[in-house]
Amino acid sequence: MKDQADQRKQPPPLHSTAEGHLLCQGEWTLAFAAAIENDLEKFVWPPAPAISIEASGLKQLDTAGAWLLFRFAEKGRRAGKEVTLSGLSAKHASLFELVSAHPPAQAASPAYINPLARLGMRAVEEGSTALQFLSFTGETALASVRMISSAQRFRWRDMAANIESAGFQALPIIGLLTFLIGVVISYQGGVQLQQYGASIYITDLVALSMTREFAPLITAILVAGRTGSAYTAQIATMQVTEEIDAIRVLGLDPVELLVLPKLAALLIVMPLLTLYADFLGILGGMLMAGLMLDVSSTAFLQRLPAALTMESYLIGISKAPVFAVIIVMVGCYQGFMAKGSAENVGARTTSSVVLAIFLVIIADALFSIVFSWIGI
Amino acid sequence: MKESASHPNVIELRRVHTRLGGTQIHEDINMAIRANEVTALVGGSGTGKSTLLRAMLMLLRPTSGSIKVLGQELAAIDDQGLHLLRRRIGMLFQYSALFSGMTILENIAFPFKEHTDLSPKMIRELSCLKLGLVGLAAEVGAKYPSELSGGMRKRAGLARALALDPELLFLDEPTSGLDPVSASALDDLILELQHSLALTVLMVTHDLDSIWKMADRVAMLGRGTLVAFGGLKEVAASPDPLVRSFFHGDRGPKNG
Repeated sequence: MKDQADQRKQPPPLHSTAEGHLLCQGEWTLAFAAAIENDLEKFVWPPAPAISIEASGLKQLDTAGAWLLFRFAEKGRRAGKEVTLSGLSAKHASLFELVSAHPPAQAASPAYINPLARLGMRAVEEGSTALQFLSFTGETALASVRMISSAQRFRWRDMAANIESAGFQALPIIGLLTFLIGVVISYQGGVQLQQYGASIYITDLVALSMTREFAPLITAILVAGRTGSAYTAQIATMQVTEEIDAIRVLGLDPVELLVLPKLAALLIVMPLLTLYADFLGILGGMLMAGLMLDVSSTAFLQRLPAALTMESYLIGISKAPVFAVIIVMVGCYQGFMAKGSAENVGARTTSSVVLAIFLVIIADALFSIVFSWIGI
Repeated sequence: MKESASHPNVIELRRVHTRLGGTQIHEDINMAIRANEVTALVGGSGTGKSTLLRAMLMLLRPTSGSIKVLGQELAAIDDQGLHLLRRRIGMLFQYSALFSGMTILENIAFPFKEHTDLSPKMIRELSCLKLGLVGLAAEVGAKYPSELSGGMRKRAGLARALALDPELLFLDEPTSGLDPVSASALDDLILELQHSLALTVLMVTHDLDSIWKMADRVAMLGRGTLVAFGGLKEVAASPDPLVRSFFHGDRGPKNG
């Protein structure tokens, strides 16, 4: 909403009374500054070498008006005129003096950097971020080793709280989503299988795809979005409010205090959540198979032991701890990297989620390559 | 624009009562703040200084009573009126409240961009001008609030408060957290600007040095109401025990 005062009428701010004599009139205030600036821009200096500006007609003057007047007089002087200003009231004169004593120095604008140099800077920056991340991972590994020898220092209570918020409270959303994924797989696969009269193989399709791929991946993506982001926001806020520094000054290790309980909690919770996701995904697939393909629950369950080998189940579950480490490391690292402002906390949280999901999918792809290589 | 000259009372409080969450904060507060004066609002912690300030800034509505700011009754004001009124008021927050995601210059330019139609060049020049007025170097403009010292942040906050040439300036503990030299320099700066910009200033403060240096009048809150209100010397000489302990306690200035 812009100011309404601009709508008010006022006489032209600068009025030429005689050759070389100018009269300022009306209100020279912020409300009219845009119009006055416009008029002054268009002003054509008269040929006379001496210009006198008479300011007794000014009704109001504020810093914006005083600056315009000062700038106008300076412009005249630069054009080789001898500019004199008279008739300012005492109040306006002190304001004018204040403004002319502090002419705005041009703040240095950011220097131009050519695109190639910027690309190079970006590369160096990303490279050093990767190194720092590696060093943070190493630091956490060392802290975990230290912790094994002195388990009484471990924050069991924090770990339990993390298990509740990252695990227990995530049950409804993870359950619902994997159930629906099971339904979708069963529907899409069933339509194809039916054409070959191989409907019963829907059990193999649902059970293998859920346990090997979908359950661990969906769980990891949801945990990265729910929990990884919360970890980043918590640690980043503590970083901005100097709480991390306080922990250090009190002689404690922030990694030990903040990262290890989270790491332990997710290492426990993620395999359990994956198992739970396996179960609900297969349940969803089974219900859909019953409704669409006339594969009864009994037939489905009878086929299940043959379809779902222990190997497939373990392959899926074994991904969970790896994803847990990725989510905790990325989330906490991004938190520790925060600095300065509230805006930075938000930016860190966003990049934490994006990076964690990205790395989870990369890791999943690597798992597939390795498993196909060793032939399981 | 500056009707304040014809309106001797810039702020008028009549029978203001405030209850917050079942606790009576203010009971029957009456006072009038005159144009072109510096009024100090003092009182111990928890006496409702900040609450009263928030009520005058329209961030909070008193339970009953009337508050008039720049001649407008706050209880009866509409959105448009509130918007126009807020333009005429500047506020320096206790922790400066600079937007942490913007540079100092962008912070100062923010009110111009939101409230005026000025050209980008003019906005830039006026923001730099305000930066100079509060005694900050041009390089500071490109920095972020987290890169500045507490004293510089206060000055930058003051520059933003003064951006639109307000008639009325509220200061919430302007010198808190500053060393005595910076505090004294900030007091001098505020006084100088108050004179040349013809400001009416209401400041909440605990700093006796600032009060003696700047205040024309003092309003003291205590026991849920206004304990003393008047000229500085007059209030300082009041026999009320709260006032005596504030002005003549162990921590009072030697010249007090």
